[in-house]
Amino acid sequence: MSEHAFYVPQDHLSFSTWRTVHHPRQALEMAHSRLLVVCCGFILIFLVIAVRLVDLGLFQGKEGGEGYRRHTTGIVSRANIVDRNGEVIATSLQTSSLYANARIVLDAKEAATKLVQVLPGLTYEDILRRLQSGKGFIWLARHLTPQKQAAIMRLGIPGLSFQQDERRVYPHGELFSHVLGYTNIDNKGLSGIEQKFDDFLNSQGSAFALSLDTRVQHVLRDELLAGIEKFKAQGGAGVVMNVRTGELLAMVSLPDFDPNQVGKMDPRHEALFNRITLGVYEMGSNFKIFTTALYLDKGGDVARTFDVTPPLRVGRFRITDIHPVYGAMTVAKIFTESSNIGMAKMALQFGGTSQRNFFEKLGFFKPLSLQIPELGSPLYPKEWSEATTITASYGYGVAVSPLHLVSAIGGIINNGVMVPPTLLKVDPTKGLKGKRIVSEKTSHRMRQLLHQVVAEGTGKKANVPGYQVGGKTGTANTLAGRSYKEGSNLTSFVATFPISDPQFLVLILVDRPQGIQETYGFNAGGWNAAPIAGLVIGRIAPLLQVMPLPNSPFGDGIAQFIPARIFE
Amino acid sequence: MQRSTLLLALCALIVGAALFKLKYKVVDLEQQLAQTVAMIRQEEKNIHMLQAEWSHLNDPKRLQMLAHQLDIGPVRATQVIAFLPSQEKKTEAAPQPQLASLHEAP
Repeated sequence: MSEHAFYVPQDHLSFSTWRTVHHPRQALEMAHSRLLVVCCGFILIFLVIAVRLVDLGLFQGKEGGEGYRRHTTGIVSRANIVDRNGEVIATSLQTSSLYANARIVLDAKEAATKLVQVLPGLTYEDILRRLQSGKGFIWLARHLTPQKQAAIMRLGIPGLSFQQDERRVYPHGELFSHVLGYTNIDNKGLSGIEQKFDDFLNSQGSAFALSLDTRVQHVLRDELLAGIEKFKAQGGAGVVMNVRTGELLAMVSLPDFDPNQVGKMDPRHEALFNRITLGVYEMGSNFKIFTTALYLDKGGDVARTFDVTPPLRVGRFRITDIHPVYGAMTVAKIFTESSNIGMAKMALQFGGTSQRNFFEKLGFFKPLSLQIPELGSPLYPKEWSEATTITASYGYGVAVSPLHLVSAIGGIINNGVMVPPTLLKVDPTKGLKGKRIVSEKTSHRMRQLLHQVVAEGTGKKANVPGYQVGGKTGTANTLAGRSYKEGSNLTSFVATFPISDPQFLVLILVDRPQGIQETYGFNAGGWNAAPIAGLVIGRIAPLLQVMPLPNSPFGDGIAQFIPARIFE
Repeated sequence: MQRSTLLLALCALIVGAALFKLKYKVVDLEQQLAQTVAMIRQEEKNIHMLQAEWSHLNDPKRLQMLAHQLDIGPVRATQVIAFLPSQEKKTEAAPQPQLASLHEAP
């Protein structure tokens, strides 16, 4: 055989050359081994493809499935808000919004004429101007009903299209107005929970649970409305709190508004003002609870007597009582009779520094931390003079929001542990963060005194047989600048039940009530706020599963300190 | 032609036909899935709407009005069996053990 020439590539850096192979057998062997190398290469590549195929088909395939599922949820982008029992109190509904591409609209005049017939809320000139603007995208009407949408489709105007939109709906109307707040047309929260949790609600799929109870909220609002009408008042407000967990079960401020219709309202309208959290008032006699609690906590005795003969002169101040008593009075009676002079003397006994520190501990010098943006800053004097000590002892000179008051009184009756108020549902099995403000013994004594006020004192009208109510009346003044605003006082009543082991606290505020025939012309808190509180408790106690008890909660232990008159 | 080549060609034909059939089946299933998903979405939309309506119909103001027509009012303490005088003896010993002890405190 002649010599065969084979192509033998050399090292890739050198030039390829023809090499001479001397024997055909040698050449065959070379070809064989090269074929093997190429085969191996192909097998490797196919193997990689096969592995990847199996991987995609068996393991990575789940991603696609999830993609489908993601599609099915989130019909609307903003989460529902529900009450503590899962009742929907704010939701978003899908609607259609009409927009136009003005460049495509052929006959703007004809289109406008037709549209006005279907959408009477719009004016012909307005639509015409918008359709002639030449813009590619203009809103014509937001949130249309399916009927309206069908009617517009039937008009067959070119250049009009619909976009899926959503609208915030509050099925209970005014009931939760101040707590929930409201959103604008683009579903951005503008007040209340809607504003504070705006991003959260937009990112969350499941419902957002609040501490509120729809039923309790309704009862509170219903009774407040009835009370306002009865006592010819200008407004009112109320809170129901669970003192053990700090959960707010109801929070109402009247006048209120319908969050479904809020777009038409003036943003400075009085109805948008939340009296419970944003308003700060000098709470009046309700502060006597703190004076007495601090006095007892400092080792004071309920049986100790003070001379309450009027007037008490301190510097240029002259303090008197509405029902003056000449002589001595026990601490217990000073509390139940609500004597300003007695309170002033008790406060002078423990002094201004203790009082100031106590108020600080109760959180009276800074805004509350609640889950809504409308929070008022307390007003208090920088210099704590003797006059401040005296006026603050019966509730003047320091202005706090009604919720401050509720939170602090809640602490005093809850065995002395103050739990911060919250609007979110609390899981009681998880540890509650509370702060001790007074001793358990003081708390117990205070509950006895509060019960005495309802059983025999100024709060008699708040009594509900079976539910062991305790409470205290008050009159709050609104501060306008440096002087008192004439005629804008709020009578108040703070009630707690069952007093032997308090669970709930109710605060009722009535704005400028008038004396009526039934109240013999009186307009103090005991005559209007107290009976409203009683009616509220009578209705909510069974809902809150408080078992009525037939006997008196304290025996007659406290009675010995409150002699004569009121026990006859 | 060699027999093995014939066999291979046959195999390729069968596999190709099977793949073709499988692909059609997958397309069909995908269509079904898309349909079902669309139905689920529609149902969810309906449920969402019905939930809002249910909540609206459960407005306590409305329920109170309906209850009023039926002459039903809030429960009073006297309507709770434990509060009835006949039961007083049974409940007397039970309530508030905590208070008694607190009261004894000096």
